[in-house]
Amino acid sequence: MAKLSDWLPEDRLYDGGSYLWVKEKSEGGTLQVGIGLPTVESFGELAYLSLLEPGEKVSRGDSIGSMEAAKMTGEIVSPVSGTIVERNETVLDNPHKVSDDPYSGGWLVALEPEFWDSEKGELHDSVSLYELLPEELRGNHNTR
Amino acid sequence: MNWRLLEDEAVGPARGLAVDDALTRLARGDKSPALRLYTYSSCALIGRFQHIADEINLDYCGRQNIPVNRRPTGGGAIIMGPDQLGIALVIPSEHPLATGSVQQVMCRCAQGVVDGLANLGIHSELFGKNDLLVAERKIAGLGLYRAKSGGVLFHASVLLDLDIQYMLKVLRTALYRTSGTDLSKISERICTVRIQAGKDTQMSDLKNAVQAGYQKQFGIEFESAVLDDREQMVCEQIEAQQYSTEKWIFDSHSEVRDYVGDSELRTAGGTLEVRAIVAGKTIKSIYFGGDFIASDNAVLDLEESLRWHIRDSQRVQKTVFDSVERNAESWHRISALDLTVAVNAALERCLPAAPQTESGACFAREVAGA
Repeated sequence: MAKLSDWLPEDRLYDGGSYLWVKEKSEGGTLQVGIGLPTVESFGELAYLSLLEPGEKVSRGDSIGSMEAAKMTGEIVSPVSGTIVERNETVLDNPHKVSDDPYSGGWLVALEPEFWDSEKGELHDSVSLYELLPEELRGNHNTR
Repeated sequence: MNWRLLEDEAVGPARGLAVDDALTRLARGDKSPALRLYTYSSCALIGRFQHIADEINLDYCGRQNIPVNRRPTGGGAIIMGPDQLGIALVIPSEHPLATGSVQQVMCRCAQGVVDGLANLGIHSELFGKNDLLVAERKIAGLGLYRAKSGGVLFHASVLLDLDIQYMLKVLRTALYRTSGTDLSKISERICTVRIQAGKDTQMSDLKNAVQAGYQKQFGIEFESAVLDDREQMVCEQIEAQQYSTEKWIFDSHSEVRDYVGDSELRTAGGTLEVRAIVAGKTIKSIYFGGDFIASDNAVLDLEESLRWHIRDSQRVQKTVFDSVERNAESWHRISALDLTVAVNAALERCLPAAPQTESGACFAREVAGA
């Protein structure tokens, strides 16, 4: 049985609807946003990706891009409000990187958060996200 | 709760796509799912991230006033018109049908089409990512899109009939380029409702069959509906601001270009021809041709196994060997190694798709409200 922390790392928070992850790059600093493994495994390999450009301001729930994966096309919905300060050009050139390395080199954008203190309360840690996931997406993971 | 049924005939592509999109964006809360059965006026539609000039003969479409547009769903370029049924099933974000894995959602949505075709005596099955096959020939293409609202749009285009020669003039897609103008080779991969259920089958028969298929599959009743005021407003807005704009139709493609490569290999079992289409490090599709002998099923299994596969020669080799092992008796004197060599040679030769004298200027524009 695989360890949950390998599938949903504990060093970040997750959106309960899109399963995107948010990680503080430094305390009080910018946030990195990426796609979690539950989505990667469900959508299949990513082939195409578009992301908003740095400077764009988004609210939580706005689209920050879109993607076409093996099984579905969809909007990438921002889990936090803020201004995009960087986007990962590597994944735009090679979207497979998101599938291969979703929690590190496969990050999507970095944001300067606007309401982080309040919005982080709406996100989930790895254990509570796991409990929220539909049975079919959970896989076989050890929560301890 | 009854589901809504919306019907349209000969709708223009910008309007047709905007209606589906508006329904999906507003598919929230306790709304019931909506099934839309419709035909387009003759047009060509590409997948969400495709480069339009690679997929469509824009010069021809311009001369013939055939409008082109871009779907929000993925997949390849298609022609739509009076003989192709468009199906859009819109499922609100919190509806049980929208939950679970993407594969589960796709299977549930497609089952209504499968049951609908069964009502016409046609046995079809979901194959691979997004195809509905009848006896290993494609009768419908399928796609799924999740809007930022969480609402899910399932798209299908079902072939009541198909004018292949017309399609070859409009589309430049890889299969058709591979087979040239050999209609028999293309026909071998395509099936229509009229081939299966009789040439007198009408679009209304197909619509009724699909509607009954969804009723049976989900144990629901339909009530005839039109867009409500809010949906109508959003529809008009996105028709004007998105689906009627050059930015969406011509420029909203991936930054990754498609590349095409061919190889030919003489084997003990005959000549093997391979065409590979790749986007960056992703293999979009592989097509096999030539004079070798193999079951259609084995060829389809291998083509499907390599679709959306990473472009890595060692991983390609493993996938080819696994597919050949699954269909060991089906390849006549062609080895897994032959297939691997031919596929990897095609991948190595991938070059940009042939340039076209395209520009937005030859786009056959729709007249808003026409």
